[in-house]
Amino acid sequence: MAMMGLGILFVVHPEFTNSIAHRLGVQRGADLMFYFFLVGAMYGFLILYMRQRTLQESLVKLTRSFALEHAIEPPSLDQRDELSGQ
Amino acid sequence: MLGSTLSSVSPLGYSVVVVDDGSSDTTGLVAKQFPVHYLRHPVNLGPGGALQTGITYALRKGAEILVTFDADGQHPVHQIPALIAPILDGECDVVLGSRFLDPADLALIPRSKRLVLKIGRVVSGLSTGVWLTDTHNGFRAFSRRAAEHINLQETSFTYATELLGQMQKANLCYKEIPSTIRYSDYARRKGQKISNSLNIVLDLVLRKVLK
Repeated sequence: MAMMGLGILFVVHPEFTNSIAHRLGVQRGADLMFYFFLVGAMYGFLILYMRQRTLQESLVKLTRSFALEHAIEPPSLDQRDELSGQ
Repeated sequence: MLGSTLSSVSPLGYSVVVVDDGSSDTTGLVAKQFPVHYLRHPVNLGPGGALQTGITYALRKGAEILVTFDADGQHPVHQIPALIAPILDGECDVVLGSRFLDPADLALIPRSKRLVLKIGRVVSGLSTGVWLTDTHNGFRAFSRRAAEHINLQETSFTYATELLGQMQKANLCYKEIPSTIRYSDYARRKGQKISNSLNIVLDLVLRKVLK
């Protein structure tokens, strides 16, 4: 919400971004906004990546436990081992 | 491909575990024609995911020595006795097949593959400190003690590097022996490409940074 409010304020009064940019050593307010966007996008990417990893780990656990529970054993393994003398 | 691999491994008298990694073809039907343990992932996880499922299952079944190999016929199953010999002799805990030890095996590797494999070797070596001649060779043998230390989280081909890291951490003694890889057209299509190795590097870096 705070970000949205700030966004609306900057659209209505674009000169605000210019004055903030000058204080931070950036020439134009639009450039400063672009830099903020880049940092925000990178942060978003990392958050999504971490979530995707967590989700993937859950999927692996679920898939593995399903496979282990539904394993089909060879029906005549014991007889086969006896025959081959093992 | 699975059928011919199982035909050659069945007479050897080992207990065989087939992990079907969410395939949509007739893998299940083929596997069920042989006296094997058949496990199926409902969705595709990748080679690392399938390997860990097989290892977990074999350990639960009380396996003393575990041998892993691809089902597409590229690994020489007749070399299994040579692969497990160092474990039976108590020489080491992990034995890894390598295409780079015997010049005759090396000559069989397509040029494009050599580069990919060399990149894999350097990435794994730098990342884990374990310098093998052939990191991404799926023909491996583990003692039970070694297999109990393996817990792969990586489901993609990155697992090979993770595996080395876990071997290093658990201080497992390992050895490489020469192994031949038969490059059928099928194996060529299914193998790793250069773009894959770049993905592996990106995966490893992100994983290290975000840990």
